Amino acid sequence: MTATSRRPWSGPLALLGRQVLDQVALLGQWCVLWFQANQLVSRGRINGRLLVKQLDALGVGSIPMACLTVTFSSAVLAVYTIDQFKQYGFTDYIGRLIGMSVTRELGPVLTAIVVASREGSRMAAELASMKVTEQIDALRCMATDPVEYLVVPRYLGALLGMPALTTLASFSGICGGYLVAAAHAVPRDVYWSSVARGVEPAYILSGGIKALLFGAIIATVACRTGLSTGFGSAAVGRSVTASVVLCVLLVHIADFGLALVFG
Amino acid sequence: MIKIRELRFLRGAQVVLDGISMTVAQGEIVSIIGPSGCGKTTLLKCLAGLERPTSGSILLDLDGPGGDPEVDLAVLSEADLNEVRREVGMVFQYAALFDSLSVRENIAFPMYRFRPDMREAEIDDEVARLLGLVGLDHTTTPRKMPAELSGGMRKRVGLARALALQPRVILYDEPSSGLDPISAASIDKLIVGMRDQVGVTSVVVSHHVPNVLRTSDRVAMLHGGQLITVSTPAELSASEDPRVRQFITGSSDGPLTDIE
Repeated sequence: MTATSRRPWSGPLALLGRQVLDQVALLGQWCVLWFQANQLVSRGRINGRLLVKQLDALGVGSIPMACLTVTFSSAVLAVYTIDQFKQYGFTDYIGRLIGMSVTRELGPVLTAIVVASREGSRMAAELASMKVTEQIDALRCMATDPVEYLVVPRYLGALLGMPALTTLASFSGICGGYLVAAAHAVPRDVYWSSVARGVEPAYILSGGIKALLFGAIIATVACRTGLSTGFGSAAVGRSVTASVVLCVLLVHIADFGLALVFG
Repeated sequence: MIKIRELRFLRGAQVVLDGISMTVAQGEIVSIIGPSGCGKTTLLKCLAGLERPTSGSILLDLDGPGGDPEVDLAVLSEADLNEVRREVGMVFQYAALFDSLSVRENIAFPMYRFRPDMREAEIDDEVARLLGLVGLDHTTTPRKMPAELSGGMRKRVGLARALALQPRVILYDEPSSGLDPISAASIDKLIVGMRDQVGVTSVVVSHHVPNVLRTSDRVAMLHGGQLITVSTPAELSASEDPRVRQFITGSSDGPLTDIE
């Protein structure tokens, strides 16, 4: 192989420029994949068997980890705040604080981080190893669109699974808060009526919207990263790491954006 | 059957293929040899429609003389390529079997895709026939997962999958690599058998010179992205070109040592 020309620009400014262009290109790749997946879903190009498999892995498989993470985080929040609340006589605000925090923030974000780490890495690793072992090329040779066969079930699985998983994890988080409250002699009725007052339908809705968006981000970024893998086993490792880092980072950025929107 | 005209492929600033022109006749076995990195696999992937060349054409005549005009793989859209892919099977270097699917599901995959009218019993019969054709036991093998198979068996299953739609062209990427001499010889026998029994046209990318000389009707040698010869095995063996001589004798000294 011969090189026709060398790169005309070098130096820090050119390096910065190339980095910026690479990141813009990456963003473009995510958008294209997201668009393709949505287009195929809207045309009904969904393999039911593969979708169920993904729902099982992402939704059912993540239940223990997501619930435990949100439960313990809520319990820690309760431990840190309960004494002060009791000291100032705001016992009936504990459930409100836990319920609001969990449905609006802790539930969706922690569930998304669990799913990004557990399922995003799985998706990236599966697709990356399929790429390096030429299974993606084999699919194309058999006239099968890799986006339709591999990405759509994962994308739709994340879209459907995330809101349900988030709701379940949030509920278990509120229960975690209750365990701490009960241990501090807060009556059951006081805690649960406080939760009922604090958790407004709008919070549950915003939590659901967050979960939907986070699911779309995780599936799109993980699948794109897996499909863009280079050559060799080291490339698979790099893709998995990049997928988890990017998914967690983007979940936080999107969370901040949504906080600005929903207030 | 296949006419390649002035094919160029650039990867970034690198010229991977530089003006390749050659033809492959119907029922012919043409092998492509050359040092690592000379563009053999890229050429094969262009023929499979997996890579799009920068310029040039790959004309595929699927209907023979008097039939429909040839199609140019270099310009077809992905949707149109999918129509052509039914006629072109590919056997990958490491078989590329879908590791989450059983042997039966791997071989049946193209049937589900292209022949939805087939019933399960018909698919089972066809899988058994194809496994028999590639010399594998059709009673226990279909239930096995790819991870349970040896390298040679995986290649055979890959060939059975490529044959599932009775393609007119089969592309082989390093069919003998990583196999013991006996398995490699039986794969070579299968390639020749496919031509003799089914009449398929074969393009084989290989490093293994003895196997290539034994099985091919013609051999093309690439060097630095350029085609340096297309000749019969006998002509290749008698070639005076120092690059060809070095490659077929496997000498470490010669003009090919400078290749990156």
